[in-house]
Amino acid sequence: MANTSCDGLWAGLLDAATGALHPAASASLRELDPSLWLEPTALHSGSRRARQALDQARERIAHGLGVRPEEVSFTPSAATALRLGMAGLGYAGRRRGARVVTSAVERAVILQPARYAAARSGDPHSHEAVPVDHLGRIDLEAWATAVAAPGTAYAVLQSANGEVGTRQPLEQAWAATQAHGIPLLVDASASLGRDASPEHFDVLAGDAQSWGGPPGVGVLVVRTGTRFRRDAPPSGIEQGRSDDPLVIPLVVAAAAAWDAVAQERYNEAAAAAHLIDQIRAAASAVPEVDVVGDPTDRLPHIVTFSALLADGEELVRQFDRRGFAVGSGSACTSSTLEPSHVLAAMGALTHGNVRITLPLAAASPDRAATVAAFCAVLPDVVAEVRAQLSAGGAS
Amino acid sequence: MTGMPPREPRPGPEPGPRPRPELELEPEPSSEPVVDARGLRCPLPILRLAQALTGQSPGSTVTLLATDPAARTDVAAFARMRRLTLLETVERGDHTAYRVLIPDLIGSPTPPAGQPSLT
Repeated sequence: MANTSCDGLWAGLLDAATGALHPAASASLRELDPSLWLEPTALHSGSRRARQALDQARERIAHGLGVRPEEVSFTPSAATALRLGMAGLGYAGRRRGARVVTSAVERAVILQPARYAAARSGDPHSHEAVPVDHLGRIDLEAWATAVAAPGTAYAVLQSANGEVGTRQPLEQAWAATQAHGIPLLVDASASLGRDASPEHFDVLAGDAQSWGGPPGVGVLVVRTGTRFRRDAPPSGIEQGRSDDPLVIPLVVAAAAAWDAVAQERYNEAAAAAHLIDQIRAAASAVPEVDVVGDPTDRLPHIVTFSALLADGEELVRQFDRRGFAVGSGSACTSSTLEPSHVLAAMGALTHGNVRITLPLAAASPDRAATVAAFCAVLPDVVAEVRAQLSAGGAS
Repeated sequence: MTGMPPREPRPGPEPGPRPRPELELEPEPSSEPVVDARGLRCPLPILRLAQALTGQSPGSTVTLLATDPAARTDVAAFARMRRLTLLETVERGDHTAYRVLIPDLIGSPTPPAGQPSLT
């Protein structure tokens, strides 16, 4: 792929879960005040500038999330924010019990520790993964029953799924946890900046990368009044919720991207949703292709489809050869050779899987043309990969 | 996949799937085709199953033997997309047996193009 946009981003990038920096973030890093590299707690004036820049960034992001600045802590990543969130709610709720309720389609960073703790405790019921329907949405009745079970310390639910885009019914899920006095940790790492900010949560985790910010900036929001406590010595960092010092220039760049994205969000989301509709239509026109996830109640910029009797790894390779970078949830494309647990939980076909995550238009100005070109080659690529498979894999 | 005979991930052409009466773990009637896809990875087990189903008449069944963890999800999804019935899924130690039925009154195993086949 020789084709690059002004920011050096691949024009064919359709796999932008990470790495598509908003120009406002790039500009912020390029025009950086060097004093922002200073330790913000020192008393000299350079350090004070760093502190002020951090405070401003926190205020802007808190405002965008509809929370108070002191409720916001920055962490090195969404994964860290999620781990700290789980640890803080688990320790504060330990007298209620050690049970954790999640959906079956949470990120591995949530499911793996929850399963591990349940296995170690010898009580398999100390982690309950609530099933989802074929669209990837939780079964609310099962969720309500799960959070009502005695011994539940806290629950975790994503705002929307980062693989298939389906939104979760946060309002009802939060009402159920509220009814039982259980705090809800919401994983918004796929949706912040791309979709309306969640309102129904006790603790929220996100990542600046979802809104075109740089890597290295996770967000942990702990609503005032939430019982949250770390099983650790006091920390002077980020309201005592983190041990990792911040890289202030990255946080400032993340806030710059947030401001730009918040201004553009309505138009950006409408344009992205329209492009995803085009991909959905092109994929469903190909025989025996499963377009996965909710067609309308979804994130604007994500779609996944699976082609029956096609090899996911080969699809990724063939699209790449034509200049399109796409992702896949097929087992053959993962390091563990396990298929995507999200597709499996939905009962969707896991082989022949292609996952599209659109970059922001601001980060990829040729986005619409890329999608049109992708839709044009899609049927041929699927046909070619299928033909290759039945020729090579014929018994 | 421990204990499995080593298999080529992409074997070359060989005769089509056929009954394997020599398999010791086979409770099915010997007239029923059994597809042995043990050791093969996605999407090959499903491909072999699809090939074995081709030419079978409505009312007949085919059994797939697979070790691939993706087959668990994909046999069910395949059956849904092709409007077949997954009669049973049986764990047999190191592999799983999936028994698939071609229902009566099915014109073509291919659903109409462009129709989302999710229920």
